[in-house]
Order: sequence, then C-alpha cells, then structure tokens
Amino acid sequence: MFLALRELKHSKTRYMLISLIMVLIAWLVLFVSGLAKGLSSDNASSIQNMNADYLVLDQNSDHRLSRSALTGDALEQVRLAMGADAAVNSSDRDASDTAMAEPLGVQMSAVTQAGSLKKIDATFFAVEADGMLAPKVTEGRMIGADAAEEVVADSSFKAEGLKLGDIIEDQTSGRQFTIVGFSEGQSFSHSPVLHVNFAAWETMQASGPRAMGGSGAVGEVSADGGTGEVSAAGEVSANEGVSAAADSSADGGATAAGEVSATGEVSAKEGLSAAADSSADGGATAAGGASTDGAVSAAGEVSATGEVNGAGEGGAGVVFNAIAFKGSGSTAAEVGAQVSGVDVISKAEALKGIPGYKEEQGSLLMMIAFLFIIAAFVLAVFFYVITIQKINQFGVLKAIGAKTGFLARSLLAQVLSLSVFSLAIGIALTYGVSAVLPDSMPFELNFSLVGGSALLFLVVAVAGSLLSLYRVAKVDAIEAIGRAA
Amino acid sequence: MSTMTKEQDVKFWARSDSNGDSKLLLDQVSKVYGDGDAEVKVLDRVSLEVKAGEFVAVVGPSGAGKSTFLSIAGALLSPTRGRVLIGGQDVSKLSGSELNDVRLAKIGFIFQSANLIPYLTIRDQLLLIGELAGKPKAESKKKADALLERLGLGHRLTRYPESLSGGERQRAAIARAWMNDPEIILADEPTASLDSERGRDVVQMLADEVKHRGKAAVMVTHDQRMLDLCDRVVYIEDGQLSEV
Ligand SMILES: Nc1ncnc2c1ncn2[C@@H]1O[C@H](COP(=O)(O)OP(=O)(O)O)[C@@H](O)[C@H]1O
Ligand SMILES: [Mg+2]
Repeated sequence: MFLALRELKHSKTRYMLISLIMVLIAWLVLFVSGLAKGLSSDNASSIQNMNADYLVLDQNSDHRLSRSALTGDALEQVRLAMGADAAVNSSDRDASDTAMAEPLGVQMSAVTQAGSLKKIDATFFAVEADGMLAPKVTEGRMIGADAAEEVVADSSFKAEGLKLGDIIEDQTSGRQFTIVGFSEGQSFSHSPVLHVNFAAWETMQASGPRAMGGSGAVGEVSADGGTGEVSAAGEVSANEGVSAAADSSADGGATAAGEVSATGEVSAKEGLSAAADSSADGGATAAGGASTDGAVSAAGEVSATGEVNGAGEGGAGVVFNAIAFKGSGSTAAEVGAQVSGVDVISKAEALKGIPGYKEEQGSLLMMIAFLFIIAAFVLAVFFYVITIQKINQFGVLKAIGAKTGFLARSLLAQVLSLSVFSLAIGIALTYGVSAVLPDSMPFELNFSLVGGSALLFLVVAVAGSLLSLYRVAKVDAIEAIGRAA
Repeated sequence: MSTMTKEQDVKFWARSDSNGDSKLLLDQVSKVYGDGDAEVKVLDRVSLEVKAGEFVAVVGPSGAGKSTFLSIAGALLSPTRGRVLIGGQDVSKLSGSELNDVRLAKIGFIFQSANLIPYLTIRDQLLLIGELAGKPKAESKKKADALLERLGLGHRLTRYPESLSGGERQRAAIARAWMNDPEIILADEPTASLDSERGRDVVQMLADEVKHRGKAAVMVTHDQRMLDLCDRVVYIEDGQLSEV
C-alpha cells in the first residue's frame, strides 16, 4: 500500500482515465443487469412470485404453460403420487392437508373496460381462491371461492384507469368480471394477470370459442395441428374480439371450419352467434352454435389430441394448464415417474417457456457477459503496459530488497482500489439514472444484484491483472544495474 | 584442530571475521555467461577483500566485467564458482528470496541513474526502505530526515526526483543507500550522469560517509579524477583483477 497509493496520487491523470473507463463499464454492467432484472419481472413476475416449486405440464406442451392441457384426472394422479391420502374425495378436501398440489389455468387474452372499446392485454390465471396459488391482495379483497364473476387484477391495471368495482369484459369469452381486488407483481409474458377462480374459468371455457385456450391457445393448439394458417385465424379472432371461426386445415387432416362474420366488430357489439366446426385428426369433432343474449356465443372444441377432447367432453372436470406443487426434487421425480403423459418442470424452466422470456434474458445476459470480458481485457492491457514500462523500476525495487510479494500486493492494491472507486461511482450513477427513469421502463436493482455484480467485477479486475503480476514476478533485480554501458 | 574440515574452518573464520573488519570477501569467484558453445567467461578466479572504513574503486575498459563483479558482490547475481561473504555471511548458496533479505539488511546500492522511484518524494524514497524492513515509521522518519540533512537535502524532503538536479538525485540515492545501515555500499558509475564537479562532490560525500560510519564501499567508475578520493583502486581486464 505504501507504493500503491503514492503512485496513484502521483500519476493522477493516467489512473483517472482508466477509472473513467471502468466507471463506464461498471455503470453499463449494472444498468443492463437492472434492465434484465426489470424485464424479467415485468415479463414473468407471476411465475417468479408463485408460491410453488414445480409445475406439472402436459407432455406435449414443449414446456410451455399456454400449450399445456391437463384434467382433474392428472391432478388426482399427481396428488396420489405425492402421497396425498385425501385425494379420493377431492371435493371437500382439507386445504392444509392436500393443498400441496393445485391446478392452474392460464389464458392469454385481452379485456376491455365495460363500455369502452380500448383493449388491454391481460392473462387470466385460474386458481383456487383459498389455495396457495392465490395472489396476495394489496387492495380490496380476494375473489370469493365460488364467485364466477370476480377478478383480482394486477395493480398495473390502475394505470389504465381501472379501479375497484369496475367491470371488465374478456374479449375471448365475452364474460364480464368485477374487479374486487388488486395484487402486485403479477405479470405473464409482459401482460398483467387477472386472477379468477375455477368457477369463472369454467364459464369462460364454456362460452369461449374453444374448450381450452382462447386467443393464445388457438394459435398454440392449431400449431400442433401443423399449419401456420390456423394460427393466423386465431389471432384475427382475438384481435377482433369476435368469436370467429377459422377455416383451417392441418396436414394431419384436422379441419376447423366455421363462419366468419364479415362485420366482426359490429356483430360483436350486438351479440354474435358464430359457429365453429372443426375436426381434429383424432376424429373427435365438436361443433357448437348456441346463441345467448348479448353475448358472443360460440362453442367448439378443437384439439389436436383426442385425449384432451375426451376429457373435456366427459365432464370429468375442467381443463386447465398446469398443476403446481410445493416439494423437493425427489417429490418432483416421484411425480414425474408415476404420472404418465406429463412433464414435471421447475419454476425456472417454466419461465423459459413463457413466450419471449428466454430470448429477452439471453440477449441481455450475453451483453453483460461481454461487458465483463471487456472489463477484464481493458484492465489487463492497461496494467500490462504500465508494468512493462516500469520493469527497470521493479528491478531497482527488488535490488534494494523489495520482495515479489510486496510488489504484487502493491499492484493488487492499485487494481482493487481503482476498481472499488470506479464501482462506487458506477453504482451511484446507476441509482441516479434509475431514479429519473420513467416508470414504464422496467428497471429493477436490488442489493444482491448490485453486490453480486460488484463482486464479479472485482474478481474480473484481479483476473485481468494476473498477467502483470506474472511479469512482476519475473523481473530480476539485476535489471537495476546498467549492463556493459 | 587437525580434523577440522574445510567447511568448519570457513565458518570459524567467517564468524571471527564478522566482528572483525572484513565487510566484503570474494574468494576465487568465476562468472560464466551463457552455456555450451556461447560461453563467455567474464570473471576468472577473482578475489578481493574490503575492510571496514575502506573505499575501493573498480576501473577497467567497457565490457570488462565491472558491473558483473559488482552484481556478484551485491548478491544480485550468483557466481558460477567461488564464495562471496558479505559482512561475514556466505551468500553463495542462498535462494532468491534469501538474497533479497541480505540485500535489504546488508547492502546499499547506488546506481548509474534513474534509480529513484519517480512517484516517491525524496523522504519517501528513504521511508520505503524502512517499510520494506518493517521498521517503525517514526524511527524511519527521524533517521531519513537526519540522513538527508547531512547530505544537504534538508530543504528537498517533499520534492519529487523529477524536480531535482542530477547531483541532488545522486545524493538522495546515497542517503537511501545508507538508510538500512548496510555493511557495504556498492555504486555502479554513480557519477556517469553528472558533470565532473558535481560528480566529485557526490563521491566526496560517499567517501566521507564511509569514514564516518566505519563501513565499506566499492565504486565502479570510468572517471580517473575520482580515484584520489578512494583508498584503493583495482583494475579489471580479461577476467582478471589486479591492484593498481
Ligand atoms: N546477462 C548476460 N548474459 C550474457 N552476457 C552478459 C550478460 N551480462 C553481461 N554480459 C557480458 O559480460 C561482459 C561484461 O559485462 P559488464 O559486467 O556489464 O561489463 P562492464 O560493466 O565492465 O562494462 C560483457 O561482454 C557483456 O556483454
Ligand atoms: Mg557496467
């Protein structure tokens, strides 16, 4: 330290310049990290905050929540596998006893405030109102256990001008819900989550154009059928807010045909009756066309697999997307082994299955990794050049009795004090900028993220100085004596 | 006594000598650079003893091996053959790190030029030695200030080398060399970067200090006009050393 600080003080400009570069890199690292974290929770906080460890999905879902479809049978099997003894009478089971595994319905959709035409993207989560997946209500109250017309909305709906008691209408099913509470940190694929109970979920499914899914599911399930065409039709249906039927044919032979109302919007307001006729390659066909007052009515069940269809028709229970449970890895393995036709994935894997999540996080992580590599190289080159310039000086120091350890400590002290100094400024700048960022920009910095990045930065800095340390160790005291002058 | 091995003999002799007056002893020292075909024998069985209070000058043509000789005497370089005793301690077989300690404790170096650390003030140049030796700060400071005062640098304590004249820099180097109370001072052409008048001043100071402290010094020089300040002059040529 004797040499380190005196040299920093004496060669201020030189070391200020290198700290400036390091400040910028540290700043960028922290900023991008905060952005990655912010985007991550903006995208998927509902899954991150979910009070569960594992999710059971349909085996054919490619680990995507929205593609998965499960029935009450699967739920009971999961409970059995988990050793839940009360699984037999699941209707009046004691929550504390067997609430370890719970169904979860996920449906991406769009809603409007009653009386307004402005659509808001939203994702419906169907949960048991008194179960472990129920969101924490920060305002208002939780949805009733059987109330089919109530939702708890993510607080970001407030920014859309919605408040407690307002009525919203699901554009896919046409059902209307009253906002009875607000939750926080509940988003899915960048859209806010609306929590409903399974009573509501059933009515949504019954009146929706499809037994399962919704706008999102139209695309997804159809994709299983093998054509992109159908998927396009699904999107139209969602955007128009009309129950439109698609004319589609999958190469597997599945067809879904129906009448598309040419004046979709108008019809929707008046209450459109549409019919869908679809056939899947399993041979199962379901067509519906019942008209009810003032609401879109379209019933139909399309499914790529006869299995799911059968379950839906059999009335064994509603179809939902996943089963969430709490437990250890061994429980997860047990469930995976005992229940056929399902995949058991961790929450982290489920996150990757959220549309866009993996890609978003992947590119940001790549940037952060490169920033760290750049930091290491900048430091390595800078200190190496300086060390080379000072070889003769190190020779003199060794000649007068300085050991390599002393010189190495001195060099490390310089690297670390520069890094700490730069980090401190970088952190201050990051917090400063995050304070003036608009709320709409997802940015999240917490202590562990800053601490972790800072620590990694220091490690990288030390790694970058290793080359110089090696060079210092190699210096021979004899360099101090001018040879054959 | 007749059964005493050569080794024991040496030890006995060295010990008795350390409280005597032999500060430096080179005994039959050879130095060969390179290996195989490219071997160069720079020093060939050279011996020299320097006693307390002695100031020895080493002269010789360029490339004769003066710096090599001084490096070996200063434990910077290991001899190919022969023994080197500094203040009575045999340093021929020591490891690099042990040589470091020997240099720190027993030897003061004065190099040609650019031997001060550019980012340390004149006082800090001396305090660094105390720091390396792990001496208490206050003690080092007192000693450094007294030394610099003696060498006429009392008004330059907080200046950096870049703002000193060549003569002042070499005097600062002399002060630094004395900082650790060495057995012997080794100087390699300390006047090379000075005009002859300044050079003479610096050498005069070195000579005075040697006498004042009862230590020893060996100085390599090109400058004939400095020789009258020295007690002895040795001449190196063709690997051989001879008294002048
Ligand atoms: N590390 C080395 N390797 C090989 N040869 C060297 C080395 N150092 C010095 N020499 C050679 O040894 C000879 C003596 O060098 P040196 O002791 O520096 O001479 P002087 O100081 O008397 O001018 C020169 O010929 C020089 O080239
Ligand atoms: Mg020389």
